[in-house]
Amino acid sequence: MPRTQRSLFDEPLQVSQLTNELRDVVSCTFAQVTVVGEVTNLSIPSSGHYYFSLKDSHAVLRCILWSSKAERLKFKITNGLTLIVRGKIDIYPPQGSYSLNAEEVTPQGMGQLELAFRQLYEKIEARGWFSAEHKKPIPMFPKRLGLVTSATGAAVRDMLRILKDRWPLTEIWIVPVPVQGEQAASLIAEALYAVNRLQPSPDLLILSRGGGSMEDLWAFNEEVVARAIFESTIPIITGIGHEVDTTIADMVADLRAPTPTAAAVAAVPSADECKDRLRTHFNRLKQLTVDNLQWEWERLLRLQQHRLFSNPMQLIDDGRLEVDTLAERLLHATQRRLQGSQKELARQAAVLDALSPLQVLGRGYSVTRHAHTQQPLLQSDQIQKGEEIETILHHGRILSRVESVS
Amino acid sequence: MKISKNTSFEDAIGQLEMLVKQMEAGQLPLAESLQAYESGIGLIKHCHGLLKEGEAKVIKLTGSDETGRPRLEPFLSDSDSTK
Repeated sequence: MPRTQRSLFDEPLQVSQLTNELRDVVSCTFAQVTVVGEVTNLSIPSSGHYYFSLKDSHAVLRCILWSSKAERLKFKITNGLTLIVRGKIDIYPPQGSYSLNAEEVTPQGMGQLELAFRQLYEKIEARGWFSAEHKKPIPMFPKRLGLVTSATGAAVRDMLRILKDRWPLTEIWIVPVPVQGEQAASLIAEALYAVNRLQPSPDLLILSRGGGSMEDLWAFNEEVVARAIFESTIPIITGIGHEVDTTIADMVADLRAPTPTAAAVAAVPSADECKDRLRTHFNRLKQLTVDNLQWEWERLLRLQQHRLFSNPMQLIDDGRLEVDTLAERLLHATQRRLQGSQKELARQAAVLDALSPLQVLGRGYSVTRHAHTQQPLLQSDQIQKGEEIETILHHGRILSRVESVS
Repeated sequence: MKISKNTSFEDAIGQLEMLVKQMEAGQLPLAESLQAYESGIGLIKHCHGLLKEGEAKVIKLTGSDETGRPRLEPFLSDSDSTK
């Protein structure tokens, strides 16, 4: 019991005596306090214990959060954060200082999960893991679909029902994982990595969990899961909780479906829609073939109606006509040509006539030729006595016998 | 273009779409377009067959061997037992 009433004349107390008395008083009086303040001077040595101060505008209170409790915190304590800390005040005799030993730490104004969510969101946003450029395309007709989810429970049943109804051609691999609890996040991440290593591996994954509280869904807000989704080479569709729940996993995934059943719908095509598509193709194909045939048929009819086939005699008549025309043209051309030649001949004859030596005969000259050889006589030695000569006059000829040659 | 039993739905419907496009372009000679029609009908039948006969196979992954080959076992969900 503290000895509160002391006389000035009592023996002086030892420091540790007083400190221990103070410690008793303080730890009894402030065994359970809740304090709000802004975090400052945060230090986390290798021991993992958190040392920080809470302050307001007038005072500072030192706080300790032991590592065993700090490990379970979902969010990160940072300088500047306003915290509500519940715990007890204790005095540390070797330093004569007092501090608040934290039992429970919650951010002011929101739940600790909400804060943890915001903190992880900002971290992953900064890494660019949410950005559209990292989204892998979802195959239209997956061959093997991996369902990473709890093998028991309504979610997997609902998904299987929808998958079977919609699309019977996809093989479904159930990859059972726990979807809540301490180990869930790391086991989900491990499963995602393991599925990626498989040979052959699924070509599409659904990561899903049925509805639950924010705590129930917490595994999907853990960094390990976000990383495993981001690093997966297989595209991932998430369907986690109800429509209103959005987890970090949803935002990193290649496609976010609001619920497990919606994820199943998004993962495979609908056989009915495909049948519609096939019907459309069939009609189109049929129509095109009919059109094509129709067109070729009309083309054939058009050709068939040509006069060549409707009146083949015309062809012969045409030929005959052409031959006649040509014959006439040939005749005319020949005649024209003949007439031209005759004129030319007359002209040439006139020229020749003008040049003929016989013209000279008209003026009284005559030509004398050897009667036998018909050679014109130019010198007297071309003829001998007794031979006959012919004299050509302008009109008529004279035959004479040579009497003498000189 | 050959259709075998193993031709996947995806390949078949892809080929079908290509055929329709070729026909629409209107550049196929008559004989080829008739052949395309016939192949198209074959592909459509094949797709329908796949959808009709297909029975979704559900298996459970229980792990993998050292070469990465998955270890699988049939999955019996409670929905099967309530059918």
